[in-house]
Amino acid sequence: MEFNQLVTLLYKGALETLYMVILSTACSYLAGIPLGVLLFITDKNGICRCRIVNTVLGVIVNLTRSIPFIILLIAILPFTRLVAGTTIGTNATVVPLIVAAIPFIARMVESSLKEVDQGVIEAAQAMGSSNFQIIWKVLLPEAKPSLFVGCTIAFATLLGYSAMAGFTGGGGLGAIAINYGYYRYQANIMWATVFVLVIIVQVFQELGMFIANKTDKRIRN
Amino acid sequence: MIRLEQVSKTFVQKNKETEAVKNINLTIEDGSIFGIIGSSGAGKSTLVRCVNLLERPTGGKVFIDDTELTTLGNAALREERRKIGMVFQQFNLLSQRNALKNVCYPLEIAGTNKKEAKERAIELLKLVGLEDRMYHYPAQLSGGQKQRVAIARALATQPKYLLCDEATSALDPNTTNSILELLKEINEKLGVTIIVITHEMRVVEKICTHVAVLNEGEIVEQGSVQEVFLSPKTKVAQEMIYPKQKFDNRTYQGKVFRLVFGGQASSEPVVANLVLKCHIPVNILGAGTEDIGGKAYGQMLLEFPQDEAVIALAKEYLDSIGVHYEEEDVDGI
Repeated sequence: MEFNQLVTLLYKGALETLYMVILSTACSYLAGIPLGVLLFITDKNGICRCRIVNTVLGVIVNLTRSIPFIILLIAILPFTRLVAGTTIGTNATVVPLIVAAIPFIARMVESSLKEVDQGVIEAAQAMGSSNFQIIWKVLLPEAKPSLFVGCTIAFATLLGYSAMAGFTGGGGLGAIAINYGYYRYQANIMWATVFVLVIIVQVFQELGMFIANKTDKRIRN
Repeated sequence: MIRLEQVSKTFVQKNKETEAVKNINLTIEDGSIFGIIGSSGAGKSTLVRCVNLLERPTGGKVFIDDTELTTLGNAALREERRKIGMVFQQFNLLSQRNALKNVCYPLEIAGTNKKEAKERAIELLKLVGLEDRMYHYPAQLSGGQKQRVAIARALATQPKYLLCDEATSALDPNTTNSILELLKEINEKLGVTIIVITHEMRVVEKICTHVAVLNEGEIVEQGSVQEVFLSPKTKVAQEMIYPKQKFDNRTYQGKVFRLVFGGQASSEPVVANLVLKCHIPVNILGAGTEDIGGKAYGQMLLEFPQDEAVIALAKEYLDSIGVHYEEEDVDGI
């Protein structure tokens, strides 16, 4: 393969990967944040204690998280077809990525919220805040830097998952690495995709940490 | 007026019950600064949290003015809580908001419009002396400044009552004094009734008008600060007010007297007069007195020679200047 062709291939693959990962991260957060908040507030020390809700949600989250992604990917193919209309291509890959990421993100959101000082929540209660006001004006803003850190971790994890989706015709850099490197023994192309993946992870990791630090007012500067 | 009637709070943990506060009856009159003093674990924090129902009492009733808080629903309780400000030992400021936005928070949740809230917040930050630190974040403020922001925040909704839970315990002595002065000023200028929870004697001495001594969840003594401090009736109160001092085991030759200064003129050189005027070779075993506005507060442990005549002389002198004293059981110290 010529160098120009390789660059075009990788460029296209990288765009597909970014599309899948960014879209699935965004969608998973839409569901993961409310779920994480719910896990946090219904906990035994939470502001809205509810043991049943907490236990049921906790079990569902843990179950989904224990299934290896490659198994989940195949197991939910019928669901994927229902939602995306197909089981191959980037759009189809987004579906299992979201399903796998929601419980994972919910746990990370929960742990970010747990870092918020209990005393601050108490103070908000003493000032007459409703639970919604505590979530919206205290918990989420106070946990913001930690949520950003969690987001970069989620992004890197989903990037890894998206590469696995290459096995089922998922598209993106993962599919390139598998098709050329695994099936055709073209190790150089495989390494080139790995290199691009490393660059993407690095860039997003740095960006995420930069935003987290920049927005954290606890750091004196 | 805040009134607690037979308030109890029992915590159940792993099937073990702990009674944090037991049958508390307390009336706090408007305009007073009411101190609740007790050693750690006495139930002070639980008690103060029962006032605004951060801890829901397991028994008894809480009244704010004529409203019985313990029967209110959530929405009505939130409304009542806005009449009761609270400051904490650890300040509990929102770390991602600057001082101004922190003070705005209670107004925001009460639905005050933004412009009005900001004006009120600026006014309050001026009151606590932080107008030049309005845009600083908590991490950029010192402990004392953080507590000032917290006080301004607690006053934002113009509460009638202010609860201070160990508000000065995380601060150094000088900062403590300045915060106490601020609280006193708020009480005098704004007429806010203040409840101060503390384990420190000097906090009560310095600002309180009334005091209740809490021990193992029960109020063992209460009254005006003068009354309770000058002649504590219960052993717990005595130990609280005159902390035990460590002495070595040598037996004292003479008699040990405890002198209590409850606001006599600090210009009176008591010890010097005992020596020079009465010719008594007194020995100071321990002393902790403070000059507050020209008046002496505190206590002193003096050893007098074992001589009835000399002691009578000393008593006569102490009576003449109005210093309260009592003979100490040396073994008991």
